Amino acid sequence: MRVVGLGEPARAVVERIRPAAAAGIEWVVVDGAAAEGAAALGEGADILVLTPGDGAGQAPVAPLIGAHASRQGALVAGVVIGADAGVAAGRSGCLEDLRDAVDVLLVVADDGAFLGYLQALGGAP
Amino acid sequence: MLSREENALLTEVGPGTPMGELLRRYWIPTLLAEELPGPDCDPVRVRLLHERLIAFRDSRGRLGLLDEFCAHRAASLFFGRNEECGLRCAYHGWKYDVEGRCVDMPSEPEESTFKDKIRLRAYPLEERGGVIWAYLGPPPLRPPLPELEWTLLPERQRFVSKRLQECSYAQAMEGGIDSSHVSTLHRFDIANDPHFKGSRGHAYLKADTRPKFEVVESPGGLFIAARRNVDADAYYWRITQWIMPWYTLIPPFAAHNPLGGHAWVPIDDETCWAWSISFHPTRELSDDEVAGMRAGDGIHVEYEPGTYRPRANADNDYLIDRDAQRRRETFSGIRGIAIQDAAVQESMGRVVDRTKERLGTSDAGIIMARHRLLQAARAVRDGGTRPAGLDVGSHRVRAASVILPRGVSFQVGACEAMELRPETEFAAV
Repeated sequence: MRVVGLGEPARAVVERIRPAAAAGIEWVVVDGAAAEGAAALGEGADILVLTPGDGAGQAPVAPLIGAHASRQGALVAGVVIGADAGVAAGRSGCLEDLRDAVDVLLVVADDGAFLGYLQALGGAP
Repeated sequence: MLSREENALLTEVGPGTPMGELLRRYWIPTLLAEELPGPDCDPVRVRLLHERLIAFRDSRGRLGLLDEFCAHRAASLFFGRNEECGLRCAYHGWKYDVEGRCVDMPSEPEESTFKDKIRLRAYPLEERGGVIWAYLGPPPLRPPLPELEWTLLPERQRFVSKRLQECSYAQAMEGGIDSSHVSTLHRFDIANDPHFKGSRGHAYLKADTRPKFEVVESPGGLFIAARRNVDADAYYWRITQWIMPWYTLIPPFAAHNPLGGHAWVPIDDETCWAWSISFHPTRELSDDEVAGMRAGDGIHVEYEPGTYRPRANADNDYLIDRDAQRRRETFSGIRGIAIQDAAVQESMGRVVDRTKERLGTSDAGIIMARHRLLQAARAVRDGGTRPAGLDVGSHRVRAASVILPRGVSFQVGACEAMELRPETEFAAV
């Protein structure tokens, strides 16, 4: 499994969650807008999890990453975090970016739910 | 997947277990109102969350739920006499009122006050929406009765049934959360069911068997939205509501059909009651609809006579018909939506080993429901916050099926459709 943080707002989330997650998960933070390297992110991953963090920003590169990953055979999930993220993400461009990129999009209240999701997919420590 | 410890935490519901203590914070659907039809009717055995209890309606119509066994020599009060405002043990005549007080003790001297020191464990029962509800939790924490839409409708606008399901409540409930199986397990026959027919949604389900999911935490549980293609411009959304701790509301097929929902209530760790409710917010159910529900149409089942166990059950391989399976009349060879669900869920074993499963993207709703339940159970164990789903405001939601332009999120486009507005039409395709 590979978790891809989309843009700088996601970096803080990755740094918070990573220590509690399984050692086998790969973590990457990319520029949310830059296309360079997008094609490679899905290589070798069974599941690719994309997260922009709190969903406040934009992630125009997400559909490109998702499309490549799907072609490479990976399942693609998106996770947006924040107690009010449901409504916020419903109106933000971030959700639009992610929706086109993923097989499933989760809007969760907190880091614990994100971590629980990763563990359920097989990323338990 | 869950760890072995998490699986136990999710599925063990007896007194003193974290999940058992969490579930005791909620009103529990316990009996159909018809099971205690009037004053001094027959008492009914109740098994809930590993507790063995006896329910009765006294001479004044008051409901009582007591420890099943007499405080004297532990004879079952099921064999007792329900008379003169109390339930009297058939063995030595000790008699209890609905509060569990021993009000008569004919086996001891008349002048003795020994009976005043005897009290059976007693829980409150309330009737609403055709269901008798029990509260097994700490009295100071008793919440208001649930206000799910079906609980507040007139009797003629709802039909409630229950069936025994021979597996963990969590396993059964996860079937109610998982809407991706509809395109497979129910594939060949759901469009013909009288309670689901006449919907354009069936064509979208058949044409697009790989829905994309969006799962959003709601105040009381989860919005679980499955998105399928309609055409180049639009998506067909089916939005399931999961409400803590065990309610699911099914996305409708067309507004002329009744809405449906379930409650998945543990009897013990290995069996549960699958409550099924069909209802319509703006019209009475027709006699034909109710007759069909009694016969096992839609989400209901036909029973073994005199029981709430389905006639099609594990002992007879759910009456599987391989020819019907080959003829593509049913995908599984099993007749009936509810029995198809029960068969696959029970086939996993009484408590499925979740350490062995491999979940994918279509399982996000199940994953998040488990997470919320486990998180709430730990919080109750640790003396933490009030669990979600107790506030009746969180019950005021609807499942929905809608077609939205591709650029519109379901949270925005179906916002009103997901909100319960009493006595109004619901959104359905």
